[in-house]
Amino acid sequence: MKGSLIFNIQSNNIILAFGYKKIILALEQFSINSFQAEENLLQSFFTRNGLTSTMVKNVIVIADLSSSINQSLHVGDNLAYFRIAQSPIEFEPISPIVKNTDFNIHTFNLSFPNNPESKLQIKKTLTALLKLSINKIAINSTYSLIHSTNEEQIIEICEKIYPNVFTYYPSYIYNIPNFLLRENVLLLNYLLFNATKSLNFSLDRILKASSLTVPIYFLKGDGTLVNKEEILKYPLLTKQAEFTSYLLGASYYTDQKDAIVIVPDHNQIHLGLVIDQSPKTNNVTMINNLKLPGKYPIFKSFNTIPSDSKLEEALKLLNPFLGSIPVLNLVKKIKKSPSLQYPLLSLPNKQQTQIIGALNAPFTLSVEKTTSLFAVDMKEKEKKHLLDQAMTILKKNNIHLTDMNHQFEANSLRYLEQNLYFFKLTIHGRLT
Amino acid sequence: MNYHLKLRGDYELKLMDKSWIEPLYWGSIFLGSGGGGNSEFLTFLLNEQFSKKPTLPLLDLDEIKNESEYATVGLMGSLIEETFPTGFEGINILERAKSSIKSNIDGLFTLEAAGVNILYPILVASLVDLPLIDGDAMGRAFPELHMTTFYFNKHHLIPFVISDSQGHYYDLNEKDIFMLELTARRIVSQQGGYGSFAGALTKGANLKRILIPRTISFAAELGKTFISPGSYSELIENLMMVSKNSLYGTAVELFIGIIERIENIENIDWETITIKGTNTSENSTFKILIKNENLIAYRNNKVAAMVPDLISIVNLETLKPVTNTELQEGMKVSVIGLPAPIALKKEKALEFIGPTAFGYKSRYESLEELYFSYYY
Repeated sequence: MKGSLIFNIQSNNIILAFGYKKIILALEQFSINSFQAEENLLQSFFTRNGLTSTMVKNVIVIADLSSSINQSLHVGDNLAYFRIAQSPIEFEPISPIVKNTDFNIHTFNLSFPNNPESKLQIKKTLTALLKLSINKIAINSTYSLIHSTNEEQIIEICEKIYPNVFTYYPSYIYNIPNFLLRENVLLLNYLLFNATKSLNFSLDRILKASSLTVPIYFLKGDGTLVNKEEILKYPLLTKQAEFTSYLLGASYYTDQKDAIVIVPDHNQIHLGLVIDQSPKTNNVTMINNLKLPGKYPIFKSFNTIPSDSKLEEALKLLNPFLGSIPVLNLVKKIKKSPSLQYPLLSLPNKQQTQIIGALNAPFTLSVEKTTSLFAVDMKEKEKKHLLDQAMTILKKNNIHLTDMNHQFEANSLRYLEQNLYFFKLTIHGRLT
Repeated sequence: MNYHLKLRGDYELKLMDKSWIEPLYWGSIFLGSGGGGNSEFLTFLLNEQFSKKPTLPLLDLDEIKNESEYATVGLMGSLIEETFPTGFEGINILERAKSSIKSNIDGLFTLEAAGVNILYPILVASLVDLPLIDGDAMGRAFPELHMTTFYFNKHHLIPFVISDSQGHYYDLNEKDIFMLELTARRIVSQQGGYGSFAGALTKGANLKRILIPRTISFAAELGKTFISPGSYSELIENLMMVSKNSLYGTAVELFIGIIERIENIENIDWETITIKGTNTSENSTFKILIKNENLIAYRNNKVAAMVPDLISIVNLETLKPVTNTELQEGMKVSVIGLPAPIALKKEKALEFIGPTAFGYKSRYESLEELYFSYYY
């Protein structure tokens, strides 16, 4: 039998598991230190559980990388941030997060690269950065969704002035149509890069020690899997992945397509919603009062065990259906009560629930494009083009899917330019 | 939120500070009645500005001088997500508008105490060191310049200067506000979709007659209820309490449900939202007709609220008011009605801002008429 090897990485420990669909053949917990230090961790796990590396078809990681933001803020890093806009924007970027920390963002308002003064402005700025010993530059230009060339040209100018001195983090790679949201994503992802790289380094080392060369996928907050490369670029996508694994696991474990799940989290309790075996998501989420775009699960939280009436009120607010839906409970202290009008089903094991969640998560791949449309049939042509592109990526990365379907979105960006469209094609499927 | 009071002659001057930003932000969304734009980026700019200059005087209408000149600043069009005003363009256009008169400007006011046009005038006022008047000419959000109390009171808005998103300036001199609106709208839509404007230089004596008083401080009071709302029932109670003691009227819960559909009506700029009832409204359907703002609401095909009364939507997951651009199918919402101030309900005003002004064929029925037993 071939199955998936799961790494569930939490703040203090790591859970290693092996399984397929709803079957878990092995599950062990280790301290996080042994994950970083012991190369043979996986080998000994295999030996103890009678597994071999040939049985592993892929690796799935559950890790909420956004939780390492606080750690990164106290490293004492310096980052230069170029805001390329029509007029100066005078407020500190991501200030609710970086305020009173050791992380310093030196923000510079610069003009567009086609501006005659731009080159001189950049030269002065770079010289100042060198004096401050800063060699990392994040760049966000207005309209980068449609004109990535602005940021590319800025990098080109910088490289001509000081070749191979600076490392650049451009914003256009995120395809986010909102300057401020893109800024938040760019800078917060930057804060997570080191932790993400270090996690991947440890993971690669452990897999290599067991001669495992299988694809690695991460669970995203929206309850789908993506390949490692995407997470290295956009670690914020894993925000709430741990919570999502509970939601998915509870739903698959009990075969309930629609349910509310009560999830423990240290001293808190979260309530989330599953609809058709996918977490119900919002298009934005918050980190310390900062808005982030993207699909993240909605939730309601309690700091203590809620009274029946408070729980009932929260369930009613979350429940999108008429009448009650099953409540799948992972918090031991919450018990069935006659006053609760929702059917409550307690699940026996938290760890197994998370692993089942990861084993059953679907895979997604999104390809995006911004272009102007001048003929009616162009939309169909673009859709086909994106589909071809997605298939090529899947083939190149040796990703085989079953139950495959796709979703095509065409959003008009009329407010940016006439006839401009943002196309997104998302492939969904199950890893074979 | 702190009300700093500073003695100035016989008056106690009200001062706005950083603590006003968040209440005004939520209040601006609620009073936007679905439209008015989202001013989140302005909260960042204002926060920075109040760090440099911690307070800004907010003048009651009875504090302004009859012979002094006051001007408006604001934003029009759809604010886009890529480039946005930073306040500095407001300084330039204000200077340009001022050049047509010999005297100084003693304060600023907003035409629209909702959406982006609450925080933007505060930002510009702070940058140019002028007080802001606690009042406006719409009492809510409306899409066009002639939907202001200036038009109903037959007062022009010139001089009127626009700066487009590309940094070009336009001096408009149409005395007829309807013509001014057409010219301004043409410029804005051709030049990137949004523009900043300044002008409507008006003597204090006239403003006392034209503006709806205390709408800025009302927006802040209203917004305060959304900051830590506790439960939904507490939020509703607080909203009722705040609105009861205002020029508006007591807020009323119109419907609770889940958004089933958001649809565009082809060829005309109307949208509809269909909400399926939950809780006590389980078997009912609520529909809202939208043209920039929420204009007319129906419960089971019967009129439930009409413009100029405000129809605002609260997201029940967050207990915060939302603009129409944030609505999603499946979102659990509460629809709240708020009676418009009397100035908007007079016959001469209804001609320009009542349901018929938007093409609807029936006469205006106020919330007080529709929910008679609730109000009387």
